[in-house]
Amino acid sequence: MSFSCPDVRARFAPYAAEALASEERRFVREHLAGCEACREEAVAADPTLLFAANAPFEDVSAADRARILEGVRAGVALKQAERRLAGGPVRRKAAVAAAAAVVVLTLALSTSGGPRRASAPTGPASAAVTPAFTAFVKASADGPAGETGTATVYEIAPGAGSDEPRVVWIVDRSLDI
Amino acid sequence: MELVYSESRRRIEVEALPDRELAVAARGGDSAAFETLVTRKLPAVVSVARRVLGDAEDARDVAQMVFVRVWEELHRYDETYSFNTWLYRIATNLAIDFLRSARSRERAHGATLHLVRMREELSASQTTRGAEDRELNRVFEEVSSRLSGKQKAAFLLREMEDKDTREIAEILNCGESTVRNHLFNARRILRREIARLYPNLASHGPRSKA
Repeated sequence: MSFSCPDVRARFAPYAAEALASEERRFVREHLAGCEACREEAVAADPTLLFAANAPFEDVSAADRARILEGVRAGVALKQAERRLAGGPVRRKAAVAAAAAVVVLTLALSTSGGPRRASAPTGPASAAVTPAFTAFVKASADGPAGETGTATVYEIAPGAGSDEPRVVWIVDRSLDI
Repeated sequence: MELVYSESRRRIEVEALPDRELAVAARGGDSAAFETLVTRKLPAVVSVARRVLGDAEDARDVAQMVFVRVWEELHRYDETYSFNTWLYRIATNLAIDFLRSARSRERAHGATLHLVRMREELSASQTTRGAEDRELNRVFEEVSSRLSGKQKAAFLLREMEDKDTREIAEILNCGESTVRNHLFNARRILRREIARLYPNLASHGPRSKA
């Protein structure tokens, strides 16, 4: 299909009204790109048709390309650093949550009913719990527990004479706080 | 030495890849693929940003932001769809956001330095085809200053980039009927602004600003 000048001029109004099929629209644009007389007629009919032409891409100089690419590299490096930092606290929170869960579980076990509590000789449950917290220490490096290559070992030592359980908590060094 | 050779060979390999494959490779951590994508798409992104913003320096800043955003969002890219459409969506959104903030700044300062600069550039018209294209862009920048960001983006994607309404709807993340509304309103405002700023344009061409 090819359009003559009158064919094209008859399509200015439907072009601006978005009423042309894509094929017709393409022919109008191609014709306008090569026909100065029709371009003038088009602008007289509807000045917005002045812009009915594929605009060429911007010239981006080699220096600008290099500058933008450097900026993108720097921006990506910054985002990578932000992601690493954002990852840290999440892991720490996970470690804290895990620690809290262990402690709560330990307390729940130690303060719940059962044979051990039934045999506890003195006081309410809270009294039995307090010594466990005060005895919550990082295990000695030279003891049976302590620092290993990838983990730190903590121990809840209930103290002599207590019937509270002894709890050993092994924490991956990368998650330790 | 082997590493340098491998990197340069990889760059040559990735340059032959289509956009989608580059995007997938970049998502997998292939920095050569990502940089090839940046280099390949830079003129298109700068052009869209330039037409939305009307300022070459701002367009370069936005282009940089666009590619950092592309890197951040690559995991969301669905390679069953056109990479160009996805890229244009990011580019137009960031350019529109930038335009809004720039307009806010202009309003806040009561200054239109940008328009003054454009008028100065317009007075230095030249006769080459490239200069005519640039002049047309400048006319558009001036008469489109009353368009909203979405109206402006829809119009330039339709007329200057020759995108169809379906693709514009995907880029602007709205319905096709909304795109048609944007186009209708953009033409109405542009006609009014052209009549106001370039009353003799229709009879004498784009250089006849009153």
